[in-house]
Amino acid sequence: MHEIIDDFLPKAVHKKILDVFEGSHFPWYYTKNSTGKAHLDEVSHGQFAHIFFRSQHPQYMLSVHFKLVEPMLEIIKPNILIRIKANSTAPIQSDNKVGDFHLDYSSPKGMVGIYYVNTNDGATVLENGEVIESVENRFVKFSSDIKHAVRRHTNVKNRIVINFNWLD
Amino acid sequence: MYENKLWIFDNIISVDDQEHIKNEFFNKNFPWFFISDITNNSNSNQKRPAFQHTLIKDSANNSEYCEWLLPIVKNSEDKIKFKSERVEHGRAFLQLPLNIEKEDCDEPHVDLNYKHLVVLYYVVTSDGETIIYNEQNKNNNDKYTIKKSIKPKQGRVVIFDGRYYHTANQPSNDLRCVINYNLI
Repeated sequence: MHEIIDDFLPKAVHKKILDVFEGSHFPWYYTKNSTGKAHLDEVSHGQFAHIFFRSQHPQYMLSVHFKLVEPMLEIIKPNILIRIKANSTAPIQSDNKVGDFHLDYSSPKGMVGIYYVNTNDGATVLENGEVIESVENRFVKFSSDIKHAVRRHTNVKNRIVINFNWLD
Repeated sequence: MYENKLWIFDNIISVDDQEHIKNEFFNKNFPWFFISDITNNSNSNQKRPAFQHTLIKDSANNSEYCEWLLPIVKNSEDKIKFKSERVEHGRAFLQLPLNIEKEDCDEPHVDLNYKHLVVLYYVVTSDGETIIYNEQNKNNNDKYTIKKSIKPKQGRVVIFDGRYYHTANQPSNDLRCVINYNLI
């Protein structure tokens, strides 16, 4: 149902990504919540995001920081890239609450990939109950028709992931 | 002129302008930059991160959003009948609650080590009070005593002699968003 690849990138490449994300020159953009569901406001104060790439017309976007995700794309080898977005979220105070199950998009050959930039007690939960823990330098991929949700973290000051959507 | 002074004014700009700033800052096109410690103190053990947008850096315009925020400075100067030579720094900060168990405040600090005036504008109403201490030119062994605690309220500005050590409580329930100017 899903594939996990640990130590996805060489350590030096992973460290560079982490350093850029936590550096003072990388722009983040505030969004009210991660899945567009207003009731999540009860537990979430929103997140910071950065879109590296978005193919949808007319909102096409290519970040000047796209080079940062190229090492991952060399491994993923997507046939058609749809979106790459980094998310940085603050912790919540209640224990590990799971957000809304959702689809990023749906397509017969659609794939979702999540790269975990740092380790924390948050996780990705799939609709069948499988849990992928947030471990730094881990990559997980699964079909885009599998609903998934975030289990919010509590133990670090920011949780960073990069979310990939593509067609195989 | 402003030595040892502290002022608080509500609605320093019109409500329409307050809303405009809030909407612009929380717009998904407004860039924020990660900082690992909001007090910008390399010696701090707290390492409480936040997101920052630098409007003015070393007296130079650093953002396309710089100009339309300057009425905050001008109106503040008018209120206290003071005209600055220049705005040295202008920075916006956005903080999300960090789930910090120990409810101590951030590291007390001064923004600059020379004479300046602080103009602190609250973009939104939130928790995370600003605390201004009586102490100036502090020695390490001195204890801090609170001069004034100010609750963040949309449209409010607190103006004070920058020599006063100050800090803030971390927000625990709300987004905290402020604009901090240092005037010379």
